[in-house]
Amino acid sequence: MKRTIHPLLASTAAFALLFASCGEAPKASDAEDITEVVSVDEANENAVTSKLVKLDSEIFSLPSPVQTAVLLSKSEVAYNEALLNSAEKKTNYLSQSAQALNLGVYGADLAYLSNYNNAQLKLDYFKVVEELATELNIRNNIDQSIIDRFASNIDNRDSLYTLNANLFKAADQYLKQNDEEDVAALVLTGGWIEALHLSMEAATTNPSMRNRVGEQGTAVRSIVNLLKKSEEAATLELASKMAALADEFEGVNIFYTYVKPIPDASQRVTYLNSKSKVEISDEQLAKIAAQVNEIRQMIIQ
Amino acid sequence: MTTMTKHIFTLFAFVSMAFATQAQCEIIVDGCEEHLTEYISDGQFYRALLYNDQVAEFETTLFGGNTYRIAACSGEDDGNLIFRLYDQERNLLFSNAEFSNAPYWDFVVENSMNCTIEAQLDLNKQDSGCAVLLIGFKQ
Repeated sequence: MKRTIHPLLASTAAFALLFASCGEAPKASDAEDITEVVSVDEANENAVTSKLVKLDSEIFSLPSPVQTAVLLSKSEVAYNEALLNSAEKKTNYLSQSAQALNLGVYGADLAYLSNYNNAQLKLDYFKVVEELATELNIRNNIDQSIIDRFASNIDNRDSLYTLNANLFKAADQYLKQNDEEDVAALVLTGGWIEALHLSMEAATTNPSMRNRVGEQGTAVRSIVNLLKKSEEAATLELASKMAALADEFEGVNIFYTYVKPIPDASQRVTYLNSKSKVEISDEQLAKIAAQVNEIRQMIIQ
Repeated sequence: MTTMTKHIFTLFAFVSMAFATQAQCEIIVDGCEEHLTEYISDGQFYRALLYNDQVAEFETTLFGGNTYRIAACSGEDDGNLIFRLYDQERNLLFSNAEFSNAPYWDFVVENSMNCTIEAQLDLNKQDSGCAVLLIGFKQ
């Protein structure tokens, strides 16, 4: 049985819950995103009113650089060390935002390196990731076993994927629980742009990579929405560059056809059989590559 | 006790509850991660503090050729959180409410899709708390 609560108290409770959100006070922009919507309850088909909590600054999703590394591996893309951001440049990154962005960049490079045999380089990049995590006060909140297992699994690609993903999830969790959503967003942004950069060369010849690049429109729009809420000039400049990149993706055609999914309750799995097709021209790909390169240079300088 | 005093006590109770709920978030994550074994995390941690019939949502892209696992957790027990997956045309692809609020579900994705994931407390079980979603994938 549901309790009846005075609207004022209900509002107060909701505010208190939001206020307690990992020590962070609700931002004005968040309040703007709380929208009352009418949806249809699928179970009883009665129209019900729900509060949609669309907290863009808190809940967003970007493709994982590890997923890109997996696709590069499946596509048998040749190793190209020149694509990586040199580990030696780590000392250039002194501000918190530069460190956060490049933590993401080096994490994506590390995921890329997982596909190839170069143990020393993997260790070098892991060390850089660990050092940047330390400088961002994240390192102590990452399970030591992840760190320890990295060196002992240096030649095991699948283990490196898992450890890399777990390390960045731990970082994401720590930052979001400590009122550092903006830093978490920068880490993810750096990882996303580097993964896209690592994909661009292969995309010119490999259809799977080409499609994957074309499918990044939702991600870049999420990044723009996140970054433009910042009050830092450098982040706003990055948001502006990302908005220009988002514009390039507007021209990419994705044709989608819904097909009814098939659930298998016994296996707890649903087969999503909808069809989609990406159309991206060589010219569009070149423009996207140019924008990605410009943004990456801005990040890794 | 005056009405004002009652309201102050009630507010204090709600604020205390909110901070206790926050502490629960970390515990919930630990339990929820157990549902993602053998899957590679997408490297992100999705959480929202929900009250009553609030719905949290976010957009994501599920890439073709992958199998994803979405785990949805709230409170101490499995099955307190309802999650739904919609495609870009707002077709309902999945609701765990149709499967006894299953705390995790796998999705075999043929072609890439832009999706919206919604999460909402099952008010028959819980009317406030931390909602955690985790996403994993495998080749």
